[in-house]
Amino acid sequence: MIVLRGLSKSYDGGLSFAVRDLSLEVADGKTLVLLGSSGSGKTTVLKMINRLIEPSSGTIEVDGADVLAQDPVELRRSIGYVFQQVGLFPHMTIEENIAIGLRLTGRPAEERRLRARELLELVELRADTYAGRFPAELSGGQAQRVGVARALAAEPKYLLMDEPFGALDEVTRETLRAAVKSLRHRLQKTIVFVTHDIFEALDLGDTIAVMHEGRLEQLGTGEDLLKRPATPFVERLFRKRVKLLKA
Amino acid sequence: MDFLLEHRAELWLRLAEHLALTAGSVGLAVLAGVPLGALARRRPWLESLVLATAGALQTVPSLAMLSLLIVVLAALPALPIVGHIRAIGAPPALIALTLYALLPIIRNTVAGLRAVPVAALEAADGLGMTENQRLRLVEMPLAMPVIVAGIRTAAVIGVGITTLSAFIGAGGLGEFINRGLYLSQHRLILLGALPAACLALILDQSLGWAEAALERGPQAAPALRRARRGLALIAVPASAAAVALALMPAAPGKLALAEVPLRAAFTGEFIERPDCLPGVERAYGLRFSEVRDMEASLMYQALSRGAVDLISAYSTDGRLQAYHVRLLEDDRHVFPPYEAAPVVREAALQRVPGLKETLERLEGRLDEATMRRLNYEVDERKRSPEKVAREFLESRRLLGAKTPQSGSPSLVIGTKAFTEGVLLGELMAQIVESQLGVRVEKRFSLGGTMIVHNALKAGEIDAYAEYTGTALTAILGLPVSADRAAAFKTVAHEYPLRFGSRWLKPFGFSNTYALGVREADAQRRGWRTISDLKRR
Repeated sequence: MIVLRGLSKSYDGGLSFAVRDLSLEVADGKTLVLLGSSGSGKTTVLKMINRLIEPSSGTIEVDGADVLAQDPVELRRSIGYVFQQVGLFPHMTIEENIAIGLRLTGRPAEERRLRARELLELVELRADTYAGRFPAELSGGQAQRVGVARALAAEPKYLLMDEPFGALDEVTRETLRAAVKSLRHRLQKTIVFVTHDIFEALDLGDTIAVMHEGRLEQLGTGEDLLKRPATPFVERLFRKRVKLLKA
Repeated sequence: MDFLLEHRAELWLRLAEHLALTAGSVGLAVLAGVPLGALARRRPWLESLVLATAGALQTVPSLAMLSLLIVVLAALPALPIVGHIRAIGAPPALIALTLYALLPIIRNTVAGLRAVPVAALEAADGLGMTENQRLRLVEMPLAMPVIVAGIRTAAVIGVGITTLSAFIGAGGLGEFINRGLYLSQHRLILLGALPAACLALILDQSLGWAEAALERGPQAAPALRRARRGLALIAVPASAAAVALALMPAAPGKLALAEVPLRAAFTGEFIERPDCLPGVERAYGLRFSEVRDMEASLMYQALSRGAVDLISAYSTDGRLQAYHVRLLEDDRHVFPPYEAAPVVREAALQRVPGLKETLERLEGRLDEATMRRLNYEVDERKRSPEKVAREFLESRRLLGAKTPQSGSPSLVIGTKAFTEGVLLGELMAQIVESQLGVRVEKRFSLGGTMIVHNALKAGEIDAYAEYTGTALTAILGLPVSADRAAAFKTVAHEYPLRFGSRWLKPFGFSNTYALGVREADAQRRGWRTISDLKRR
């Protein structure tokens, strides 16, 4: 379980806030989607969870332990992270990219190789074909599949995904979304997923946290948000899109 | 071909020295520069400091850097472990070359690290890499092609600058170039320059391939194949040439020479001229255990600081006195005579009555010790040649009382561009002015031998001081004579016929080559002549 309490981040000593007084919980095995436009603070929240950004105030607990009291390097190794820009290492093969986390903790080469191939198959890429390739030889969708595989390599309980499909075309997004959903059911991961796409949020989120200008507007299931919007912002956001959907 | 054979063994030696100096200095610069660049990358203040320092070092002229290092190293107390660092030879050269190689390496390290994609850095942090892991696994590998490009630049520049280390006796292909320059022997210059150029090209190309091979990614495999093919292209003809040179018959057998355990530093000219070092070895049947090629002004420092035991010198050099150097007598008369005398145009002798007699009052007045002292006054005590010449003439009661009048006849005296020539010009000018009342126009420091000689021939100057050995070899193109009187007779005979000018009676000294040792050593070991060096 991930618990955020009174979480704030200010870059100018309290004059303005990227994230302000945010509290929410993510239950084990569930997917929380942070939904918001750019600048709403959703990526900042995600990065604070594994301490890529340090909060100005508030607490973060993962499995009951205060994140701020932990060694950031150890913490990050225990949490999978999928980046918007994928961030595969261009000088390493796909296999080496996927197994990099295992290499950091000093696992033997053979184990790394087998695990990488297993994960490639898991994200529906043929290991024999792709293991020895370099990132530059992959399409955008294939690269992000590898990005997901890399995040899963160390068998983390939690997965943080920062607009992972933001740079992909609609068709590819849909197939990748389907892949993530099937993974989630098979692996029982707890996921925090950041997106600005309402359909993606509705499709993936057990709960959705709508963020606007650093604040939490509403927390609830897709149905809650659609039928019982708590604020005018949420109402406007969903009404517009739902019309589009019906048309 | 004979020329190549004759220098074959030395060519390999110099090539090896050259490669060792270049590779060694670039290697040291990599060891120091890459970590510095990596440190500087995260600290802006350090980056500007490091780059500014390396840039400033780059602007120090190479010879100035080498000379400075000699002084610094000689002044350094013994260090733990390494002890005293030798002030001449390879150590200062290696240090100087390393300093020059630093800038491109540091700069490219910083630039290469800066070019690492932000996405890769973000991923490295997000995956839980420590600072060190990120540097080792992500940043360095991605920056490597740029860093190798910097090493490549440093290596190519290094091959060029290494030719200069010959000045301080560090060896390398510069030895040939130096000697060739002294002797105006183009073959020798080429023997140094061509292999240096080839070395630069080969290093550049092989590092280029290394650069391509280090770039990991889909394009890496063909790059590696290209590198292998390229290496074969170079390696095959290079080894063929090496085998061919190695199999050629050796040069005709050398004399069995007694090796003298002395460390010698000679000018390139002295090493190469047949009547200098080879002449000494032949005539005295000895060979020095260690011979370095060194620039003349550094040589004196090296001797006085005990870095070498023996140097080549000119017999009237003022520095001999300043540095307490004892010249050894050339008891087997190897060194050619370079007797100095006034050379005057016939026309001037007729125009100015009494000119010959007046100038010949200087005959025999200047022995080597006297000339050395006068040179010392000017070179080391920084006094004006005019004053030094006047004092000397006064002390010998040679200064007349006349002052030139406006209507009196006039004479143009020239000199070559070095202290002793100017001093002799002053002596001639002052004695003529004061004794004959002739107006003298001084055209001093015109340039080298041929410039001054041509000025005399053309009538632009009427007189200057010349040396018999120089006139024989450089001007008349005749073999140098070992016999002092015979040499003078030859030039005195040729000049009236060929140039319409005449050699007057010589000043008394011969400014020839000589071997010098520390005065203290000479006294302790009883060295007086070159033959004495062979005694154990």
